[in-house]
Amino acid sequence: MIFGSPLLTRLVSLFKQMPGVGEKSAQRMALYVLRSERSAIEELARTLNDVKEHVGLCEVCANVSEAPQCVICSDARRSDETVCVVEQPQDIYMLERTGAFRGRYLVLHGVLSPMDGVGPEELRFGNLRQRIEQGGTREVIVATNPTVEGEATALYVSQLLQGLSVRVTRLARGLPVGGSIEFLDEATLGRALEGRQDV
Amino acid sequence: MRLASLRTVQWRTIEDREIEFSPGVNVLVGGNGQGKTNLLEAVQYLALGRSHRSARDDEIVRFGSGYFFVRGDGEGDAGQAFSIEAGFTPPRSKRLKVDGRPLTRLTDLTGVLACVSFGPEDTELARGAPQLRRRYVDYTLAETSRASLKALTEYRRVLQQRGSLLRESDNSGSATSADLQVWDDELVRLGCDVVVRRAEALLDLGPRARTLHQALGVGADLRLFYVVQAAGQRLEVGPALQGFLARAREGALEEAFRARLRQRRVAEQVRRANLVGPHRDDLEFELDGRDLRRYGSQGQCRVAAVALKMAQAECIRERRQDRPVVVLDDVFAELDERRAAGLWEIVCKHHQTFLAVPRRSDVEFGEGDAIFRVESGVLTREK
Ligand SMILES: [Zn+2]
Repeated sequence: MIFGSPLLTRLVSLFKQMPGVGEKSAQRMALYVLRSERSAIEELARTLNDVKEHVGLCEVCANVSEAPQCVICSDARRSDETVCVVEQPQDIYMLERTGAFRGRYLVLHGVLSPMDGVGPEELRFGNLRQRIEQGGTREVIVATNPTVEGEATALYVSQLLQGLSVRVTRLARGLPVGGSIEFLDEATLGRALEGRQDV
Repeated sequence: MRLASLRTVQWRTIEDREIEFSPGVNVLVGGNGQGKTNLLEAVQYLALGRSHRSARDDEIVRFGSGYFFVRGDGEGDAGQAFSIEAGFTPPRSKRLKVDGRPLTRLTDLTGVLACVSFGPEDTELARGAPQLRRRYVDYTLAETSRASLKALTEYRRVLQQRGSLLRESDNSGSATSADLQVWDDELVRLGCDVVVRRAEALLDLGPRARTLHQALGVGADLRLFYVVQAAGQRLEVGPALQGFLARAREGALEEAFRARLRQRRVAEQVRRANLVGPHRDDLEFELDGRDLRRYGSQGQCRVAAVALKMAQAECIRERRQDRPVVVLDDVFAELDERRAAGLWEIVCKHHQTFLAVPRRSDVEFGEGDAIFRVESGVLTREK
């Protein structure tokens, strides 16, 4: 709690709503705002607004994008033959860093979790079946995290695509226990990508 | 492994201090309510990250004070040092540290201080609720293998997820088979893994418990049976369970599990609960061919429970190549002299042991053993 300014207190409570930010960090951030040059803070405020204004989700893969279709979906050099299903947009960055994948993506923005009220309708499957059929996709790699929920989601994807002539694969097991794709190094993730198995 | 020292601050009625322990037997002598059990509880808290007797941490905080803290320093049989710290400030601020590093998950504490305990509550092992017997096997698994701990944790997780799908279903009609299918698959996959791991652990525990029971008992024969609910089978721990395990590895268990799940589908939807799986397994015991739960005397149940717990200590020792510490609360009370001597011979000589007894005359002591008198929470070393 910072005494003396209701405005500052309000800022702290707004920062605290951000993921991973506790009371202490929120206070430090608020004081940083107070001590910074006006121009720096104006740029921060403008960028926040611009992000909200101009960044949306790609209409094909639900990756973040400033155009209707994201940079990956609109890249003609990439192949439609493989589609990689990930939990979050930041997982794409990790997979891209391996350099081992040249296909397209689908970002679910979560995993199945009845405990949290997340069913298939809450995830961004879009019209995956149609996309697979029309795009001539031959393999769907499900790169959800190796958690109970990630595995259930992978099973759901394979169920969803039943009857299509498409291979559904999973990143190789052997990811570290409790390991999240977000925290893997490129080499490990690259190996997991190479050693993928059918769901 | 051994616990070299224990420091407690505002821990129930125990005076704030640091105690150094003997690597052999540590005998705590004192009457009821003097604090012996509170001290044993602190040792177990370091192993489990929670109390084995009260669910709530705030009950441990000494009356009228604001927090508790406990720290243990010790080393493994190979000499690797460890330290565990636990602190709690009501209402819910709990901190655990291993070697000075904060833990984010309770499961990361598992196995740091391997501990096998026997107290008054364990006499119910043979004839109390099935949950006690599942916990017995699962504790053995968790203390000996990270992979098993992970399997148990994930199985619990899939039960929660599937349970919540079954429960929420009444709002929007019942959970359809399509909704349940992926969770069924996960339940079966992880459930089979848990059953196989339990069977493997029991094949190790069973013969040890039988031998130990013979050494402790009057030659009566203790047999174990694993009741695998998902397969609808009761298997004697021995060749029958071995055969089951071999068939399970070839897919028979999965098939049976799925069949039973289909059969109970409607019941699950009506009762909105997980009705099939290893969370409903049980163990049964026979003493000279008679069901211990139904026909056993209190004394017989107690000796069987001691044998089972000591088998657990051996099993952990073998699998980890490190001896767990043993905590015995008033275990000699109902054992006759010969059995007490047997227990001393089998356990106390081989493990660092914490032993609470009401009177000093209740035990014999060895060379390096330590004796503490406990009175109104104050410990005095007598030897
Ligand atoms: Zn896209």
